[in-house]
Amino acid sequence: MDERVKGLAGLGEDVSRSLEEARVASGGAARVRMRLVADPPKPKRRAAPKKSAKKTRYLAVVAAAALAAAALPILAHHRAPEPRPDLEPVAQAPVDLTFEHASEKGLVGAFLAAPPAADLPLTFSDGTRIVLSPSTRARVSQIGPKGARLLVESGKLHADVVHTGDAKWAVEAGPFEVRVTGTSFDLAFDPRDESIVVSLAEGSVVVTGCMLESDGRRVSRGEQLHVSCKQPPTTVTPSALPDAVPTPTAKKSAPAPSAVVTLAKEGKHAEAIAAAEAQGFGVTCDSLTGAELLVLADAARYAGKFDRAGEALLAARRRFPKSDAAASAAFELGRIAFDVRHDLDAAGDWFDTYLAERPNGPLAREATGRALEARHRAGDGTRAERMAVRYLAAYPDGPHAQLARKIIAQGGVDR
Amino acid sequence: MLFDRHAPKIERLLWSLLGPEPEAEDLLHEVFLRALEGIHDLEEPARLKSWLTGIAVHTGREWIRRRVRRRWLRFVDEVPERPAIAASPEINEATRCTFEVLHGMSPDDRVVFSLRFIEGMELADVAVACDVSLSTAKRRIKDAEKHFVSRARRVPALVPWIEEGGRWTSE
Repeated sequence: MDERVKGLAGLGEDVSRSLEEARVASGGAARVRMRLVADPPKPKRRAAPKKSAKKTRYLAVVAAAALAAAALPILAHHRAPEPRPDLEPVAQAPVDLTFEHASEKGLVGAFLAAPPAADLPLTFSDGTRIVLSPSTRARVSQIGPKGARLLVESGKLHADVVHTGDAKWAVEAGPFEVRVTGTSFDLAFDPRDESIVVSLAEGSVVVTGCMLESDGRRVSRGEQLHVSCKQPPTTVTPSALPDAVPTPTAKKSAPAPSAVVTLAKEGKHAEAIAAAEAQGFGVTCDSLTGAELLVLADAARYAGKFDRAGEALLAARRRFPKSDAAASAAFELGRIAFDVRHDLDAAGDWFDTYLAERPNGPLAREATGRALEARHRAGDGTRAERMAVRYLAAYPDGPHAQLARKIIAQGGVDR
Repeated sequence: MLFDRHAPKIERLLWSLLGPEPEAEDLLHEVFLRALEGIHDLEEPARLKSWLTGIAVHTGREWIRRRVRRRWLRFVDEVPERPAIAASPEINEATRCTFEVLHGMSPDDRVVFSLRFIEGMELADVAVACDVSLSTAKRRIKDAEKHFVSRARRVPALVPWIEEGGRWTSE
């Protein structure tokens, strides 16, 4: 193997290893499995099957049977749990509740995923409202006349369950179950370490699951229960619950700013932001270095909290003007404006700012390309063309080169 | 179960082709939908693994082509948040840059490069997965390698691997 190929093989191995860690952590396969089980595809028959297809048909039957067999325990667990005294059977209820999300009728068993940057509110016909936080994944697995059962795969939610005297609601999260009669609470579930945090604003709930007593643990107004399958449960009674929903690893006392950065570097993005918010996000920003503010901003972006990301980036620019961190913050603000806010003028201005401060910086190529794209899409032909010329002069083979040529060929106009 | 037995490998293959993209989950779903719906098309049950791999490569390539078209025809150009990679900053940056370079290559070049160098497939397996002859696969890999290296040389984060024969082997 020559040196070049050896180098590529080494790069490939490193990339593969890093992807593998992220892939396993993503839990995507488990969700796909549930989707297939919830809505199994039917094998399509060929119009004129050949004799040699006998084995294939056999395989199809085996595959379908295996899928069905695998579906049974999942359906039994998630969709048709054993009859419980506290929940009405689904099929026998004459008038079941209904629910809506994003103005659409909700379907029992359907997969619900809140977008990365927005809440997904579920409104039930009895007035109960459950708001899934950004990136939370859940299903309404069962619904009856007096309540429903919600299955949370991961993420956070806030529930305001209407107290009717005999309301019967339950939230399942991994090995835990929260039984509710009428209350207002926050719940956060992290499937990676099978931990749950339940914070009660009103009323009370009973939580069952691993590490808890067999008859469950009651959590009352003002209390917060934190339990993980790896740690004994703790119930704390904070004098005032923090504004943000605490996350599974958040503790009662606010961590030091460096702990926030550590959480962010460990990839615990939501925890890092919750911790920063618990001690005051502005206070945290004022105590971090420029590089740490970029780390905090990244964590906020990954947690879908783009306003917080913007705050951290603006703090980096305000507190460390002319530094590398300030320039990088300008680039990141441009990306947020472009990708998330779709504010193309602001995006173009931020990329220009980066280029003015670091014309040959490590992000110069991407900033130039993004700037020309933002100006072009905003219909600013003059600035798009100017940036396209600059781009091609510096990066004739860059990823935006084709677009730059197109803009120049069309005199900056593409509409 | 078909899914339990093959999903981890197919999902890894999709990540190798796409990089850390949030759409990988949907593509994994699509691969198994196609497989379960089209199971009658499989002539030889013994070829199940390579048949699934072929579907995954085809699905991944379609996505890359759609992505390229979308980028240049700009019907939609949202950039969704990508899954976070918990590797060291150096490897993280190398991974990001690798896929940035791959984004600039043709879909066919990108697919063979990813199969060979990221997924670590043997030449013969790349040929089967791409449904081409061994000699065609060799030629494509050679071309893709050349294209990748010429671009990667200009990316500082990738230079240690490209110029020094591998970050780990050179130390």
